[in-house]
This record gives sequence, structure tokens and C-alpha cells, in this order.
Amino acid sequence: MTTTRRTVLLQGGAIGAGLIAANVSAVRALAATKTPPVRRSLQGLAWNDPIVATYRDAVGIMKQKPANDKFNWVQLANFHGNISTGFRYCPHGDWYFLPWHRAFTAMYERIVRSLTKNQDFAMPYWDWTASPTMPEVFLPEKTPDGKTNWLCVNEDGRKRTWPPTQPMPANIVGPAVLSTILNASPYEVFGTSRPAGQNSLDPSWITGGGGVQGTLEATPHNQVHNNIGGWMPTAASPRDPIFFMHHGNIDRIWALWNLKHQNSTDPLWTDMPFKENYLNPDGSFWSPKVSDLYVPEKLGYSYGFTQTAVVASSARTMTLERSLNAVLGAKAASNVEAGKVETAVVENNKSATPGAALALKIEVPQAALQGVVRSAPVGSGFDTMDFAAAREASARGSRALAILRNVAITDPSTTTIQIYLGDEPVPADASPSDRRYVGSFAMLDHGGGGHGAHGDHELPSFVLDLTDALQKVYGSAGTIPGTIGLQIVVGNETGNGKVGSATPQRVEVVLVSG
Amino acid sequence: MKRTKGCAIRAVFAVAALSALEMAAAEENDARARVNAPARVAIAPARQPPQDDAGRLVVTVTGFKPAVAGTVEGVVLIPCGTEEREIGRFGIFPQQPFAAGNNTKPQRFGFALPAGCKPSQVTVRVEPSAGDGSGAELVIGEVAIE
Ligand SMILES: [Cu+2]
Repeated sequence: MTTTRRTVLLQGGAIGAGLIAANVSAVRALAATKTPPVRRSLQGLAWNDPIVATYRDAVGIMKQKPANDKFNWVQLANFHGNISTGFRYCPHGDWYFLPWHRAFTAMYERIVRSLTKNQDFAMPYWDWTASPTMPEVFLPEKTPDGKTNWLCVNEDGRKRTWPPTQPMPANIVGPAVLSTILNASPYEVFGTSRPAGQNSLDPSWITGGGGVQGTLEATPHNQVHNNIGGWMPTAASPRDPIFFMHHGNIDRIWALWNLKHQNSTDPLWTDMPFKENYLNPDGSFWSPKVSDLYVPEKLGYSYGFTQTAVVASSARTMTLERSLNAVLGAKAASNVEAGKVETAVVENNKSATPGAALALKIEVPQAALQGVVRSAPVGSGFDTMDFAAAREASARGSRALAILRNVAITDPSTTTIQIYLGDEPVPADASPSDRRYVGSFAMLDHGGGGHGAHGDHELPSFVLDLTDALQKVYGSAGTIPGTIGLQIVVGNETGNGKVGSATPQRVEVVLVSG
Repeated sequence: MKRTKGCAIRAVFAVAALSALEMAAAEENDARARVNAPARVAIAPARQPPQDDAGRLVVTVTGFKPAVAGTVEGVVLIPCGTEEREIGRFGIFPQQPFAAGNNTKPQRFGFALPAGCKPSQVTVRVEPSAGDGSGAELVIGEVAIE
């Protein structure tokens, strides 16, 4: 039997079957222009990564400042609001919501740079679409070296309540919601509309609400705040350091949306000043107006949409670098000349059966794995907005693939094969929301019945992208393992028919450095 | 849009379980939604015809009481063909009581209407996202297509 894209169903990180046709896009040289520090996703950032460490140190400095210091943590949060008196300057429920919070987050970013003397710092963001569980580096009370983790909230009565391993629900943060958001237009449908009846630039219009909230504010913005618990569902939400991870992502989504859509040009929006709503790092007031806040680069940071090495998961299905195509086309990965590609191979004769997952341990080159785990992921939604750019960029990032060669599947029409990362046994009810989930595949078309006895050339091979799962599982840890576990689980999605077994003859892990 | 068998069965159970509670709620005030007691609100006639034929549904919330513990969200459903379809969710932020009045504006939420759906009423459910949602209440004002 020949395997084509049409005869298999691929989900999650499963990106190909059989031999992947060459579809190589030109690799554009990195732009040489100097750009401001790039905000990156928390996914893959260890607790001791300079970005996380700088933010944690700065929060600690601010929390330990005297209560009346301008840069005291509580003083700064008071610009947004306060538990007893509610919102102060921050708009919610009207069209100033996005620009006001962009400046607020930029203010903290500048203060962090100034307090830590780290001018390369850019605020990271929590991409809750790609990584819906709470960012791990914010959770423990102590860092692994025994010091106070200032990113954790431990004030009595204000601890976060969302369970650390429970993903934010897909109906709040999932790809379908993000797609609705990014396709909303014009600005007032996307970023919440003007207050009913607004007829002047009087500052009372900023904080009064009264607009129609778009999906971005109504759904992920409001509900991620509320779900986290503690300070986050309140007007004093910036007292939780995770606030800026959440608002960073909201801000990034606005910047993404701008790749295709125009902001409002109404002077009631563009000319509104946020007078003395923010501080500069020297302690003076910063009073931008909305039109000063359109372009992140002008505010001293970037999301790197144009020149960062990034990987977009759906773009990956379209673009595989030349060296990767050689790997996929070879009979075995070891035939491929080395260079920026490292491979690890395990021969196998055991099966994944309905009663037992097939667990494989694969020794991998640690340095190459580290490069993959630490490589900056593209944020969710980028490929929706600029697929061509995402596709080009995908030729550059470091990534890890697993190739399951010559997979014999019994009862192929009723068997789904799921792949998970790690050594811990996968629970029976595991699902794609598990952070260890890599991807799944199933045969749709299978003339010729059982496949167990056929020769090599007739058995299908599958390629899965391990990058996201590796980052989710190992990203927050300070050390990278030298062995990774892969678990192959057979199941049946419809509940009808017999679940068969799956036996790959060989599993290869391919690490490509970008 | 095709529904899976599982969803259809769940929907039937939900309707059966809710009907008694819903009737009680409707007698009291049909624009108040609580957990297991959704609000059904007629859509106000359009002030001006929507620009494209789908348009946007705007739900106005005039009051809110949070749950005793945990968090709730609003779920907006419309009848479309033979099924009731969820068109979006919203949170009240901050998760604190409010009542529209002199100094407080109502909170309004917009949802794209799926093409081909011409609803005349809307259902707003209160759903807990953490805890059981007891004590939570949404007061729904006007619902209109804009
Ligand atoms: Cu917020």
C-alpha cells in the first residue's frame, strides 16, 4: 500500500506520513537592522533564564521598596486600581482598553529594565492558546535554589485558585476563539467600541466603560483574569505579577491583528490623552495619547513578527528545510550527513496494545535538545495573520521531530495512535490537552486488510513534531535531560470496533538546529 | 455544522433537567440568569438594519452578583435551525457585584451571528468555571442586533 496525505488523519504535532514532498521555501536572511528587545513566549523559558530571572528580581525589588516609594509594587498597581476603591485610571469595556494597557505594560517593562540595569529585557507573555496551563515559573513559593520566588502570590486570601495542571478552557482561549478575535473588524468590533454617546475628549470617557466588548476583552481577557483567582479578578489585579504575562499576550494579539487590520482613525480615539496615568523610570509622569501607542517598536519593544526565527505549527506542515527533507527521504536517519541535524535511533519490535502503551527511551544529544527546548516559539495566531511570513520563518527555528518508521497497525480502520512525551505512564483518560501530548494519527483508507506481515516498503511511516511538547514538559526546568521518553498509545475515538496494536520498526528523533 | 452524537445526548439531558427550574425562574423574572436557570430574552427590533446580513448580537448586562465562591461566566446561545447554538462566552471583570445606575453603566458584549441564523430570542446561561456557581446572578437588559 502507498501512503498519501489523503489516506491518513493527522492531528496535533503529527505533520506528515510517508515521504514528505520537498516544499522548501527560501530562507530569508535575518534583517540586519537593530530592533528593540523582542518579547517572547514564556513557553520554553527556564526559571533561571535571564528573562524570567530579571522579571523576578525586579518584582522582588519593587515589593521590598518602602510603601511610599513611587516604584513600590502596590503604589504602581494603584495606577490601575485598588481593592477598596475599584478602578482608577484603567479603562475596561470601552475602546481605550487596548492602548491604555499597552502603555501600562510598557511602563513596567521600562521600570524593570531600569531597576535591574538590564536594557535587553523585554516582558515575556503567556500564550494561553498554545500553553493553556498556568506558567510553571510563577507557581512555587521558592525557586529551585531555595530563594523567594517573587512571581508567586502568597498573600493570605489572595493566593491564586486556578489548579496548576488544569488548562484554561478552549472555549475561552482556544484556537477557534483566537481566530474569531483575529478576524473581527473594524477596530471597534475587535478592540471594544466607544462608549455610547461619547462626544468629547473629556477624560471621564476613558474609565466609564459603556462600549460593546469584543471577543478579545469579553472572553479571554475577562475570563483568564477571573479564573486565575486571588488578585486577578479584582481592580488590583496588577498586584499579581502574572498580570503582565496576560496583558502582554492581549497586547501581542492587538499587534498581530494590526498585520491585517487598521486601527480606528476617529479623533475621539486617536487624540485621547492618558494624562499622568503612568511613570517614566526617572519618576516623572509619562502622558502618552492613543496615537503615540500604535507601534510597539516606538515604545521600545517588539514582537519580532518580521525577523525572529520562529516556528508556526501549521506552517510546519508546509515547509520543511532541505536538510529535513533529506532526513525524511532517507531509509534511516543515520544515512543523512550531519551538520545542523542530529539524530537518535531506537530499533523496536514491541507493540503498543490496548492494554499497554509502548514506552521507548531514546538517548539524545543534550546540547541539541537544549537548543530546541529554548528556541522561541511563534505565538499563536501568527500563521492566521501572515501565513507566508510564518512559513518562511519556520525554515529557521530549531526543532525536534520524531519519525516512526514502518508502523505495522492491526485493525487500522478502528485504531487511533497517540504519541505522548515522557516516562510517566499516560493515564487512560489522557487527552490532547495534556501537556505531554505530541499528536495522533489514524489510517483512513486501508485496502488490503491487516498490515502486520507486509514488507518494509508497504508499511507507513509518520513524522511528528516534538518541539511544543518538549518545551511544555522541560521548558521551565533548569536542566535538560539526556534521554527522552516517548509513549505510543492505541485507542479508538468512536468507541466502535476493535482497537488494534501498533508496532513501529524504528523510532528516530531528529534535532534540527535553526 | 454537524453535531456529534455525544453532544446531542448531553443537550437533551440538560433541557430535561432544567425545565422545572427554568419555569420557576421565568415566573419571577425572565431576565435573571442563574446556574441551572438561564434567562431567555427576546431580541429587540433592529434600530437600523445591520450592514451585512449576519450582523452582531449585543447583549446588555445591567447587573451581576458573583458566586459565593469561585467564578462564573455567561454563555450566549441562539436557536439556529433545529438546534440551540453557542455563539460566545463572556466574563464580568472584575468579578464583583455591580448594578447599572447613576454612576455605573451597563456592560455590553458583542457576538458575531453565524450566517443564516435569524434568531428572535437569546438564551443566556450562567456557568461556573470554578466552584459550583451558587449565588451568582446575571441581570440581562436589552438584547439587540446591531
Ligand atoms: Cu486586564
